[in-house]
Amino acid sequence: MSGGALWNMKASALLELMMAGEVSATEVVEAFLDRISEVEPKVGAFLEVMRDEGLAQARRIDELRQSGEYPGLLGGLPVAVKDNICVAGTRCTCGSKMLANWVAPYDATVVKALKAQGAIIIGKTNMDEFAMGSSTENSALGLTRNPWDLRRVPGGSSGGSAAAVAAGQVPLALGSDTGGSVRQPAAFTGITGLKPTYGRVSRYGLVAFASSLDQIGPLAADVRDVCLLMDAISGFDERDSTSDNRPVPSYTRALSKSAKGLKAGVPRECLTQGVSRGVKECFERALEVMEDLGVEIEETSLPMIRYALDCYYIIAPAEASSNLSRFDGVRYGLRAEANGLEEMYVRTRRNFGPEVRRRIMLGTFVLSAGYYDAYYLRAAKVRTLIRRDFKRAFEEFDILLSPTTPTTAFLLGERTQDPLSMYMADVLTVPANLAGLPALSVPCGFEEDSNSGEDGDGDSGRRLPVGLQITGRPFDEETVLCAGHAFYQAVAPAVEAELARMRKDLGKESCGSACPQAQSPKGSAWKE
Amino acid sequence: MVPLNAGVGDGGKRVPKIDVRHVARLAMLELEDGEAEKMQRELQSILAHMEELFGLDVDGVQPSFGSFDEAELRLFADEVRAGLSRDEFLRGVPAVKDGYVMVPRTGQEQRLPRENEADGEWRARR
Repeated sequence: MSGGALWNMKASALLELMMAGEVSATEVVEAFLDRISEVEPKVGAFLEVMRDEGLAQARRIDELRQSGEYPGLLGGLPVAVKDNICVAGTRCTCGSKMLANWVAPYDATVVKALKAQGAIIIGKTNMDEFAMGSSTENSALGLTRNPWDLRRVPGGSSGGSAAAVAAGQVPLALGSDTGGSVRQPAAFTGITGLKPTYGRVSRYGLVAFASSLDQIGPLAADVRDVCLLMDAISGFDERDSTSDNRPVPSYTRALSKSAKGLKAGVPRECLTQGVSRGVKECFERALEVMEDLGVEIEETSLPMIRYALDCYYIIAPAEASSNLSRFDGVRYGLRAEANGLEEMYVRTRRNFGPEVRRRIMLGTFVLSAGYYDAYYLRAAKVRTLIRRDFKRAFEEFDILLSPTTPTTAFLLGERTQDPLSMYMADVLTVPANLAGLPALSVPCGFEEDSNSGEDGDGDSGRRLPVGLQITGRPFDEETVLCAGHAFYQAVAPAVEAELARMRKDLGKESCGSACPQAQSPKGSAWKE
Repeated sequence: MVPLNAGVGDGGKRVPKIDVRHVARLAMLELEDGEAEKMQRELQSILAHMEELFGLDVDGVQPSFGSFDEAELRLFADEVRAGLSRDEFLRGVPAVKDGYVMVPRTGQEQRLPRENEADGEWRARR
């Protein structure tokens, strides 16, 4: 065996080693569990680590291999699952006090698929409460830090999954993406994340936030590993009425296609929405790399996407206010003591955190009598205009390119007091959810001119990662992944050298005064 | 009660003033002391940001309630299929008796001392 520690390797490489009999699934799982023990006090990515189950499952995979049986596409690979996706017999908290002790009675379809393919679920990851947030600071159950700089947020809402992959705690993870919650944390932590087309991956067993926007998606170190997960979880599910039944290609195989000759549009609106200078420069360099690969790049315009964020923050809260009405103390999770039914509802619902309350309020308002037409219906019409813009663009282009986020990872606490500034973090990712399109975030480099906060001690030196977003036609994940893979190959040496350095430092450095709560990352993240 | 269409039927130059206590009652949320004012401020600033939407002409545009066309929607066959068993389902329920979900008695609610206006209102409404 070569190439250093197992936990520092990609899923595809680990799979090869296991298939060649050079390492066992047990060794792989042990390596990642050790890495979790080592860095978790600093990162705080997990709400639960399933150590014993993970090792037992690994032994079963090893037995299968020894007896000559095929253990599945992901045989022996550890996977972390965001804590709003049900794993039977395990707590599914959604980062909320409301479900802090709720145990899922069944496996989500994606979890069933992972298990069927031999994946080993070794943990549930932290998230913004009910996936509402862009920094994971809205979790009621713990604080997650960005492994690149422990004073910064990992992004959100799938911040735990992203941080775990970036820190080398797990090679693969699942997240969910309603307005950017897979792609934005992937960009903030220098890894790859995909929001598949709406309907491509079953949402059965995902706790609903905004049903017309939610989609489960994979996070991993690179595009090839993302494809491994996509090959396992994609496809029709009769338990999800919005699931699509068209055939699913092999995404891994699609990677051998060339990106040469692809037509890429760059919507000029995407570079005016508060994009920082550092991100812009990095994005422009990414475009040059694309051109070198033979991708034809042309500026274009999608005039309606400047309305996408407003449109999203009407539609998503509206759907959330309806979806979250089920948390009333009757059938799930927490129940407050009360003398009557209505009092029980209200007292139980005191356990929602501030951001969830804010969105329920906003959603209830835009759906309320007298405001429905003015807000909700108008937003639904604007959504049609946004979809039309994309449709028109995809008549001309195969993919659209933009930065994934307007800025790199911000400091913990920097945006918690101003909901609007937090919402702005999603400005470039929400359009794909509104239009149901597949969109990938792939690392494209580092912000050169990082204004890394007011540290003063000058030791923050590490540059922060920037993500390139590639959006494609509905159900054309293949082209998106193929372009992403070709691009990533070109930047991988530089990106991975930084990643390896960061991971190494993370293992040894004490974070000292930079993260005063580093030893107790499970403290309440919100106290208002 | 909020006047219908206050401030939004006129091209949206004004941001409507949200009656947060009314909305909280609709949402079965209780706003604590001081929370109502903060909530009001935050929601107003979010709505103010959305004002741009009212400059768009959406007359005659069909709304999208999803990201696909309705023609793509289909119904599943109306067949009985195995799901969770009663026991599996009830395991996560906070209070169960004899296979039923238990809730507080309705219709005989006792009034608690008023904590604040919102409290009083949602009880008085019954």
